[in-house]
Amino acid sequence: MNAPRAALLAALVLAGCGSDPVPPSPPANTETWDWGLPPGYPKPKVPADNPMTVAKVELGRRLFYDTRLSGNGTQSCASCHAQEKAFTDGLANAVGSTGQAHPRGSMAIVNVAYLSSLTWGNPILGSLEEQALLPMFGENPVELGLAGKEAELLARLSDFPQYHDMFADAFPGDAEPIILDNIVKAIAAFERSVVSYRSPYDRYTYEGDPSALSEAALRGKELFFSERLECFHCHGGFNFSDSVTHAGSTFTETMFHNTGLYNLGGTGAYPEGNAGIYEITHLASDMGRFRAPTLRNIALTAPYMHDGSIATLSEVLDHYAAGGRTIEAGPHAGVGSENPFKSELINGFTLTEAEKADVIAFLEALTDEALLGDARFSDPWKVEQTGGEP
Amino acid sequence: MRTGRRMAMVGAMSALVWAGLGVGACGGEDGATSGGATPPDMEGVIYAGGANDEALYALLTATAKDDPAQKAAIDTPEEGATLPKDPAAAFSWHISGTGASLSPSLDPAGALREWLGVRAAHAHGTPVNGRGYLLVFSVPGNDKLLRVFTTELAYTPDANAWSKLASAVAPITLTITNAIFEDSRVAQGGGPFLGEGVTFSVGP
Repeated sequence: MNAPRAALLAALVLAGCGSDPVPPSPPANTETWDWGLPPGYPKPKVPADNPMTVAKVELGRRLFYDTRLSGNGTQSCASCHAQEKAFTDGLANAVGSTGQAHPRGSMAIVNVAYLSSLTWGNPILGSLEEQALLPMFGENPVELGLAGKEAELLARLSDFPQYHDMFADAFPGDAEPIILDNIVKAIAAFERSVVSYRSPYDRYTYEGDPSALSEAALRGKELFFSERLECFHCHGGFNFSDSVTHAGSTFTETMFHNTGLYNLGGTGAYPEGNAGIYEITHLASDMGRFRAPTLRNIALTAPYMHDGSIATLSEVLDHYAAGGRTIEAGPHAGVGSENPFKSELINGFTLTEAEKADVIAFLEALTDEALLGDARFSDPWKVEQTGGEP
Repeated sequence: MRTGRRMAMVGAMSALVWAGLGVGACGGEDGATSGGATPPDMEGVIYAGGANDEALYALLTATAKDDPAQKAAIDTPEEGATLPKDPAAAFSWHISGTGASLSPSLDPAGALREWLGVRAAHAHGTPVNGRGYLLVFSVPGNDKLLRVFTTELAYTPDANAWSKLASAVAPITLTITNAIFEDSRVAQGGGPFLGEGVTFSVGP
């Protein structure tokens, strides 16, 4: 995003924060959102200026699934974040509303509430409210394609009567609640509500249900958390990621890793335009460093890695077992295991086929089937079209 | 390397704790710990699964509470059971609130794995996330006949541990206290939770 555009967006967002004082409104649906988390499962950190209410999450859900939020009316957030795919899209590279391909794959929004850093590699982007602006108004690449159409977006939403009530319920103190600031707050609140905590792993580990994990998954769990495989260093903790924060956190860590996926010409380089946080810091040591995504629901989010260049979990394990990927020929040829900027944790390991199957069984046990069908996160427009309750 | 830094940090923390500063590693719901200058007795505890001494310290220094839905219910052995001396018995449990339990069954492969997975005390390494269970086997006059801290939902003693139980001259009581951890600290709302005991004997 260029500087003038960023300034414009900032102004638009800030404009929503400085509205004139208004008389107290009658209490609306300000019931606090309840994630339904089991005991001991961390609660997400919620910004003080965007508290979680049932009304706001519901508004955010409706906006998340609304194609009015794309410039040409063809896409919504859910176009790249489909519930049945754990809020990814199954593509190696996301495709925006104008058909432009994104250099990276769509990330799951599951448990984004816990992330200390958003997107694949942006150490300065830590707010869901800020992040929501990027797909809406970003121009390189175009995703939802709303750049220059801010007023049109507000008009579209204002023309839909149901939104008047929903925005008023979600933002009861605002005289004119249909503003960009509130749109991104509602979407962020919905995203913050999508928490995965009901997988077989969770039932075993948090709920103490001995029948939840298969013998193979238990063996895979032991391997996953072993120093031999080292997986847990980057994909550890309750969220299977090392860039995590939550309510009550006293220490927030944000980590980025070069896993030896590329080593163009032996220089350590990654493909141009997709070089991780190097693109922001321009430090050589940051070449190819990306955030370790959560592994929750990972069996549903293929293809893998930031650019979707590995098709299966089995091949991902091959990549890490080799200590990096070797590409024999072509523009991306190189020996990833020799990448000079590679993480010191990626050293390779040996794994029998049976052990590999066990690790995959464990990773599959991170799938939260209840989340995939949870009506709180489903498409309200589709339900209405089929005659059900929104 | 992060592991090295982590171990150094744990070592430093332990030094502080043992110096009697009473710094709890606990982030428990009520924030209460037994505090004081006396460090908890962790000597001889067997660590199994992914358990470590940092989490055990957190459990032992937090105030346990009685929550029927969160207590560990012992599936095997049953109250009053007499276990054969050979082979070593398997112990299993579940959390009451889940309503789940496993019927008693023999799992030789699992028992072997459990046996191989048991580590000596003072084990560092992977942070504990999720539940950890402190099994305390006691007899009259010895309330620490055998103690095991594990993240799994079953435990089969190795030969040394089993010999302690098999040589007991009085009925043995097993109680299990559990807590929910985040990075080896007791999570907010994570207990520890007291469990009821079962008493059993090991036959001739």
